[in-house]
Amino acid sequence: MEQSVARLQAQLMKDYYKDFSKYTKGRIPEHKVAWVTAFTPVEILEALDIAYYYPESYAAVIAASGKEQTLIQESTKLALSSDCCSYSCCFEGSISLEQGPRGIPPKPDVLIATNNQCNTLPNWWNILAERYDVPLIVLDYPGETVERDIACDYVTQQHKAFIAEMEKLSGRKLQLDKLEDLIRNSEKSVSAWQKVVGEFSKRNINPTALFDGISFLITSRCKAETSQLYMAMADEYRELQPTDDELIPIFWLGYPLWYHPARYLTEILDGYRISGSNYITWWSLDYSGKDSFEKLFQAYNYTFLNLTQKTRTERLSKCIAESNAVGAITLRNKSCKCDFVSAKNVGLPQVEIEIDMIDRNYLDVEKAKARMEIFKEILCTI
Amino acid sequence: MYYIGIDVGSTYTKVCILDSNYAMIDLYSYSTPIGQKDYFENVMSELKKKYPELQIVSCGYGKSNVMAVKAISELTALACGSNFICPEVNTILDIGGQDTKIIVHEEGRLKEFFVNDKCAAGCGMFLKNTLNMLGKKFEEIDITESEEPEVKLSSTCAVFAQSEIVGLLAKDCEPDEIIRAVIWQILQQAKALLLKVECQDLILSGGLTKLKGIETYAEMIFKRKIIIPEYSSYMSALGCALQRK
Repeated sequence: MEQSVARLQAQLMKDYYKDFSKYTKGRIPEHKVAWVTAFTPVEILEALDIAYYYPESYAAVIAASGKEQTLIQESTKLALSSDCCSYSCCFEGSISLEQGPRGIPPKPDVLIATNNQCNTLPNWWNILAERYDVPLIVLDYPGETVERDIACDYVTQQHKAFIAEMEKLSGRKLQLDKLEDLIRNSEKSVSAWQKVVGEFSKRNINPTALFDGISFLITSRCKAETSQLYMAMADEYRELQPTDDELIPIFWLGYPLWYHPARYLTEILDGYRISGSNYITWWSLDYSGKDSFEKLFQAYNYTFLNLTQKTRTERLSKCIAESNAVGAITLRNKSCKCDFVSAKNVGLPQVEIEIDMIDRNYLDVEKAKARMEIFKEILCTI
Repeated sequence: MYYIGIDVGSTYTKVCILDSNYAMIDLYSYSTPIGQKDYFENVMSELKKKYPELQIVSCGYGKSNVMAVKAISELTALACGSNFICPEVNTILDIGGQDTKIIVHEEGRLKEFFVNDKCAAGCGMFLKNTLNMLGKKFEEIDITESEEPEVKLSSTCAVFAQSEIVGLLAKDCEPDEIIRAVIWQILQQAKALLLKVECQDLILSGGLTKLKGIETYAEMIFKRKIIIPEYSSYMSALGCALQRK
């Protein structure tokens, strides 16, 4: 079974990275290319055979390769402040120097940004649009700020206009049955991933595997192999030992630290085990609806970061309850203030640690250790 | 048996000595020394001469330099000490030299804590540096009956605020007005921490509580009742002394 997980991961990664500059020697991609933000309705692009790439995810890959510092420094030459999101700094540095662990993604024909995760993100994409002199399409998702029916009509209108633009770009006509199949693939991927996440609080699973594993739900969610991969992972996890009761179960509230070999702070977590994390549920999109358009609306309008504080708190509380955690490590992320807002009402003893998910220099390990000591004193006297 | 609590803070070291009936035998403080390990070895032998039966618990930045039976966090100690002095209020805002903390306790057990150690404009060191610039002494400051200062520092960064102060001095602004503006700024920064917890009345602790008139000044800013207990700067040392094996 382990081989099957590895094989499926390798296949999906090969498929995603095959046109990056490290492998192509300047060859032009066969398909039109879109760069997208993490919560773009990529099922539409997949249905039209447009290749799509995620700059944010690639910034995480760059940090995991340990090369982020040079690239962040390079981005300051482009007048990006170090207060900007490190995903943008790291990726801008990468494309400027044309450096990255797999080279750089093929140049875009179109940029697609959504505001269902971060309102500042489309501004970064303006910089990219200027650099490549390509159109930027911004999809606006109102979230819970308007009634569902009105929001559905509004978003569907945009999705239809978006399809028309992408048909022009690709020279193909969108086949609705193909779109339906791809949405079904996404639903299956989400469902299988939830089975993986469901094992997390029960079994002795290394959180690193989940922080890395979710990347396929981001980059390849509508591929048929993704649900196969997650089903194989869930099968594998069911064979693992139950969790170690000697360790204190805690909730990791925030991003993985992409630069860290384990993706979380192993060095300050002696005696603890991470039993849950909100990040690994962010792409568990709900594709329910009577047709493809309603399904896409439901999935992309109600992403976690696009919800009201009240709904976020409800979802987070459920997530935390399922993890059986007795405390939470709440990450104040330099790069993502909108994520920190979601941690407003945790309802558990918590410790706040200042981090950046890309820039390793932002963390003061000694201060974090000191806070964890206090946190342990709290948890041990409850 | 005597129970000794030592809070080795970044600026001052505070000592509290209790007897076995929780009666306060002694309370004193001194500047935190350099070369702490050797210094506290001497302190220990002196204390042992005076109190042959003793138990020492330490907290604070230099807690590991004290040969104590136990070293605990200053926040755990603060929760315990505060509850002993003022059990009816469970939220404490501690404005220290290097950082500002807010804690909530439940019958003396630390329940919640949040720390600001990123912003120098919210810490006592900002005031200390300003006083040095102005050639003023801490003991000379009196903000009793002070209103909201007319002069406001526009910068929330202590470094840039210092430049702003240079500009204010050039415009003949009164040093006392500048000091009031700095204290206002420190409390404004600290106010952000209050939003993280649910609280009504608030205990203020830390070096800033020694300022004359700080209680009413803080009430004006925080818009709630502020309590500064007697021995407020000794609450962590007291919390250490209250620990029993």
